[in-house]
Amino acid sequence: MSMAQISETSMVKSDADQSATRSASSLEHPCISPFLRVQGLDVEIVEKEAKPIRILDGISLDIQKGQAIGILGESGCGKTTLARSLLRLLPSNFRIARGSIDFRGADIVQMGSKELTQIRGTGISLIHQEPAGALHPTMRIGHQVAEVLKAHHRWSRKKCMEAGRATLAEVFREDSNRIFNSYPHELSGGQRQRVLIAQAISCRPSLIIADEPTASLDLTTQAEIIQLLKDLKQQLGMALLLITHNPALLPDLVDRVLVMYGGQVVEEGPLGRVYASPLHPYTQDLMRLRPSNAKPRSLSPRHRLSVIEDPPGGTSGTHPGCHYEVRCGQRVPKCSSVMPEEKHIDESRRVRCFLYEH
Amino acid sequence: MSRGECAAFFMNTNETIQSTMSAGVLEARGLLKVFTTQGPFSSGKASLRAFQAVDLSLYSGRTLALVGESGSGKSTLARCLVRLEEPTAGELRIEGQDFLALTGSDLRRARKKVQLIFQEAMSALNPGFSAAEIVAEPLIVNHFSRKDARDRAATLMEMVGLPGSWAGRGAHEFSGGQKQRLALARALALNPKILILDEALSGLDLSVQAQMTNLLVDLQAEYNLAYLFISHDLNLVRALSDEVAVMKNGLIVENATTEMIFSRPQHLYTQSLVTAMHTLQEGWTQELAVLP
Amino acid sequence: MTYVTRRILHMLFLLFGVSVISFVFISLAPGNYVDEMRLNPQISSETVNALKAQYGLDRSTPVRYWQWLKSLTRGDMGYSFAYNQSATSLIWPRAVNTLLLTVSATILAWLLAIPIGIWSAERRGHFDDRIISAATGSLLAVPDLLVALALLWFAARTHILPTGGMVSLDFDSFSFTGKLKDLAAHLALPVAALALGMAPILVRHVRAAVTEVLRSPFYLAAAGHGIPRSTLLFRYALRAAANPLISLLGFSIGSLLSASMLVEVVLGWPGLGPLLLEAILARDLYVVIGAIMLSTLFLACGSFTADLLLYWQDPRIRTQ
Repeated sequence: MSMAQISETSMVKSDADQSATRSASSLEHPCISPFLRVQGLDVEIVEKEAKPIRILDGISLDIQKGQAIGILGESGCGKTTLARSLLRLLPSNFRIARGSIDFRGADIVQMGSKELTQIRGTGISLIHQEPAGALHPTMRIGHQVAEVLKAHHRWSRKKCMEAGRATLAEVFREDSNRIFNSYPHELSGGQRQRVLIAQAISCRPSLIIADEPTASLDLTTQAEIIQLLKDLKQQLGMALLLITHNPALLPDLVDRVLVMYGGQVVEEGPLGRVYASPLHPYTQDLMRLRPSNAKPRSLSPRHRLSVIEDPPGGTSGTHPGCHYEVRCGQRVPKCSSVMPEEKHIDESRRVRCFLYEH
Repeated sequence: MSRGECAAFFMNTNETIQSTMSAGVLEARGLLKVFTTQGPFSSGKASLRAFQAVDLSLYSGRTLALVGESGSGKSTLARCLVRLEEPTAGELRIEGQDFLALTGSDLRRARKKVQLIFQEAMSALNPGFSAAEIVAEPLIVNHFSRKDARDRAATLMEMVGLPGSWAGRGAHEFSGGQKQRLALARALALNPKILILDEALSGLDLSVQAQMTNLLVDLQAEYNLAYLFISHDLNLVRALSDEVAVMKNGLIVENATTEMIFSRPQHLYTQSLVTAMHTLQEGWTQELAVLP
Repeated sequence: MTYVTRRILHMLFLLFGVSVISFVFISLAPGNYVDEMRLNPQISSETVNALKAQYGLDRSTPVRYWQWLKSLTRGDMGYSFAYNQSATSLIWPRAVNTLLLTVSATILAWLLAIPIGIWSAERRGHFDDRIISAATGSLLAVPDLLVALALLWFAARTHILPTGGMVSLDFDSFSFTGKLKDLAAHLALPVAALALGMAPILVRHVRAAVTEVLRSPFYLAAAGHGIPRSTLLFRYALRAAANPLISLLGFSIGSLLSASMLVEVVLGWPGLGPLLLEAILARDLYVVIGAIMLSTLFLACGSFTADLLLYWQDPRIRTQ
């Protein structure tokens, strides 16, 4: 109760601060104030005696309580770096160069390591990318879930184990006792993914970040994991940030989608509208990659897939303009020399492209 | 060098390609692989069947897809087909030759005909190697001169859609998709008849997967390759394969044409796979139906 | 056959091999115990020949080996010519002393190496890591003998620690705790010499193994769940890095055992080392072989313990 009050009062303050930098801020819902607000976040790789490489460039995003947001982008677009930045889990040569991450009234960028450890797991938790590698290879599953609980509660070992058992039962309909006593290598990929989810929800964080939770899983297991995330979101009322390269995973699960390209958010909007009428040329090309036919009876085997054509010189443009320019079919001359600004199309959509500058 | 020139080059060094549809270029009958395990204080041996009674035929110019859940024995099967692991029992013929009976130089010669590409195949390689070194390595091992090997490496790179001028670049400078192209070029270096693609496109971006799929189709048409495409992505399977074998718990439970598998799946497990594919894509494809 | 019985058979085979080889080599070397007596004009050649017959030295090597093997089954390791007593009763107490020294040194070396190595890995590239690297590097470059001599000099100058032997002369008059204290004081010097020789190698291995773990995804995932750093380092990282370190444990016991031979001689510890040295010089055949056999046995037991530890620690090995 007192916690909620504190966060509310400081939220007012951050709103006031933010009106000055309106252009960099992301879209807001008029009535609900966000509990996570990322503003103008730049992350760089700093190597000795070399120019820093910009990985994230001016990322802004808001998440409301209980809201589910999808981040869509291909490998190398910075989506995993974004996920890790939110928890300050970056490798030592990465640096948050600019920007702020306001979480319940405190700036994660400025936080000391003690507060940070406290927030990880209880405030924000991350479901890691590879279920095969994200569990300790020689510790029993039950122990690993219990360790998370132990880190955040002054509980006895026995109580932590019992609570861990209960958390596992939430994600496994059956067999949770066997899994409690198993080692990671004894589990299938889908089971390991469920264990990661159990670890993430064990301390009831207000935000869960799922980084490619279904990559490397079988189709049937993918469908089950997505269903599980849906159920948990419903039951526990946690906010969800789902990061993926696959647009097919997001419908039914998230309300809004952010499309990332080259370390920037190139488009944001409600999922239905973005999928139905994508604005940015990259999103448009991405949507063209969908499987050609959905109806079983009209399936044609052995067909060519639509692709986003790569330019012969490679896709890493070094010019100061838009990152997508080299692959873009709708480029205009100034695309290669000027970086387009984010433009708010209406109260719920923004895009970073010259096509929408009137 | 254009596609046509590449093809001509390829054909020159290759023996005459025969397209025999009657007997497969690779025939596996009743393959079985059993692993035995033992604890420190027990004398009993537990045996674990990776797969059993596997019958497969691969034909030149055609693709057989192998789908199934992870842990169902697909990868072990792939490794057995190139004899990285020895099958416990069964028969394996490549171009009519008993592959399992071969040893020494005969085996080395026969092995050139079957190449395996797995997921993130290049991650195991020394990142300090240049692209040309990676692609040319199997050639040098097989007594090509350094110069010939380097020239051929550049040709192979163009075949898989990488500029030959990138030959000097280090492996770490390539993206995930480009690394798989390199793996493909390396696999093609010794003019194989059969490519075994074990989740070779998994973990790549959608657009890159699509590019690679189309590339595989083109290469197959030009060089009459037989593919065994192991994947859990049914969209790619649909785009690439003529036939599909469905594996569950080490057994092939269904084997039919791609069209049959997707339109009238027989086995319960196949049905659940196809349903899962549709459930997962429903949202995306439905939203798109609204497009003007 | 279980894994354990297979390992024990393997160990017996190893011991058999070592015994044959040492028997052959010692027999090949010119001279034997009684040959030395021939030089003494006070001993008649009849006496020498009688002794030779009594000791069995007039028989061929295979015959002597066979007899030695037979007596070994009764737990008898032969006879010491020089001490004129059974080799078993001579070697066993010495072996126990060596074991005490080696085990203590192993424990101390690891107790030093694990926290230092983990700290060094965690602070990789920082100032403290560089200091540790420089320290281990220079210690590695110094021979064990020099370390032992330096410690000896230090003890002789400061009189803090006794400089030789295993117990004080009036040991028997002490109370139980007094005895323990006295033993510990005498142990300190040789244990320190051995541990200082071993620890730098261990620190480097611990650092390397832990560094690898610190980069692994599960470590990052655990950090992402807010697990405190001390738990992460000493429970998560150490357990995951344990496999190569346990293999190293077997190796470290072996190399400490051979290093202890030298240190025992220099610092006057009544272990197998001085005994073996004397026995070799005196060509005291059965003592040499007995000492070699026991060292081999310790070594084999060390690596066997390491393998069992590996089984216990890593469930993946258990199911393979």
